[in-house]
Amino acid sequence: MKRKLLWCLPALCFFMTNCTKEPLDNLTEEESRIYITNYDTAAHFNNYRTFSISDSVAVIQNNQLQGREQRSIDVQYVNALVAALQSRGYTRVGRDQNPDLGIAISRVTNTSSSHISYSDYGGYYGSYWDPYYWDYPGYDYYFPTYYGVYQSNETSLMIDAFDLKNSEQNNQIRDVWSGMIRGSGIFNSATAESQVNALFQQSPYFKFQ
Amino acid sequence: MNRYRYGLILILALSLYTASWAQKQPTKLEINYTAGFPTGNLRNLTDNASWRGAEGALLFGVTDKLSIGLQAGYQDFYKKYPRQVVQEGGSDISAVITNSIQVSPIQLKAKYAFNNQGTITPYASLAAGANLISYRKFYGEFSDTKTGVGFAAQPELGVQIPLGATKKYEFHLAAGYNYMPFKYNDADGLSHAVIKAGFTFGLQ
Repeated sequence: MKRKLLWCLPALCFFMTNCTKEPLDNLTEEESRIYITNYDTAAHFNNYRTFSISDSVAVIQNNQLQGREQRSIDVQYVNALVAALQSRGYTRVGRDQNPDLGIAISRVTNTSSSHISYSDYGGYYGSYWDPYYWDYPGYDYYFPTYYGVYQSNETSLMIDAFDLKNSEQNNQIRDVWSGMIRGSGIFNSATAESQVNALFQQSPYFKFQ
Repeated sequence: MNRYRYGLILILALSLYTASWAQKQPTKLEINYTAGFPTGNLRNLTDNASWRGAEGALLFGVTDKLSIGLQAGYQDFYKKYPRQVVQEGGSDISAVITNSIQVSPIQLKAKYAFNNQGTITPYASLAAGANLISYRKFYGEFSDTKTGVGFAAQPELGVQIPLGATKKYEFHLAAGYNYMPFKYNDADGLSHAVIKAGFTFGLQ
């Protein structure tokens, strides 16, 4: 009797461990990615007409700026963003031409298992993109109550849109829109455009009539 | 109140004493393949039938018709939804959402065979005990996981068919209902119907 029981126990354990349909084994690279957007509900996107965007991407590791890069994939993201904003009625201008919106792309890597929260991210923002870059030296950045929902120990792509037009009202460069891309294959040049479009498709309010 | 309690204990003791004189069922090991069909609020997480389940029970004869013992089971539920935009904590999140739920009840079981003479024996059983639960909701490759222990009860009706001349083995077919309360986020109950088929092995 004991022998029969001993035979059954490993069989049951084998069944339990091998008969679970594992979600991660059933996701494509595209399905693994998530697109998160937040926006300032007080902002009126119809009031902005022009934007400026940097040609390079800020590389941030554990809340420390590592530098700026302009790899081919970074250029593709910049170009995709320019095309997406232009298709929504905005005009690209130089940063010395008083743009209404400042667009910044950041590659954020956290090597430890910590939270990517907007309070952490925003608190250091002045060291990633000095307000001097937008020609507003001495200003602070302001992030409304955004939520970073997921824990992370990998790389994500952050895109922020800042209200430069109204920044002189309270000496703050207000983040009015933020998009985050996370998951596998983010830095695949074949999908950069579709990933940027995914962020804008879920942000129908972000357009100039 | 105490008088009723003592009365109940006395009746139970007498029943067991009387039963001990009757011919007991032999000790049996049941092995089942199970299929689960979501009902109630579980259908909000997945409406897919689960064909990934198993169950085992060790039953000791009390009388010629009644046996009691321990039952352990496993059922895996899975559903992947197409990409959608959901609101979570003020954010708009576009994700392929996958729900993955595993339940592993470990229960005390009582089984009553309505006769033990015919070729086909109908039976009823009731099991109740603990339920080991794993709930995972994936947004893309990122999961929200909750594990816990809950309650589980399983009423069941079925038939068993003796095999061979010695009738030491039986094939059985049954339908039951797994009552499994559980609350977390969008989960409010994991109850489901179950169909099972398997074999019983006499161990004596």
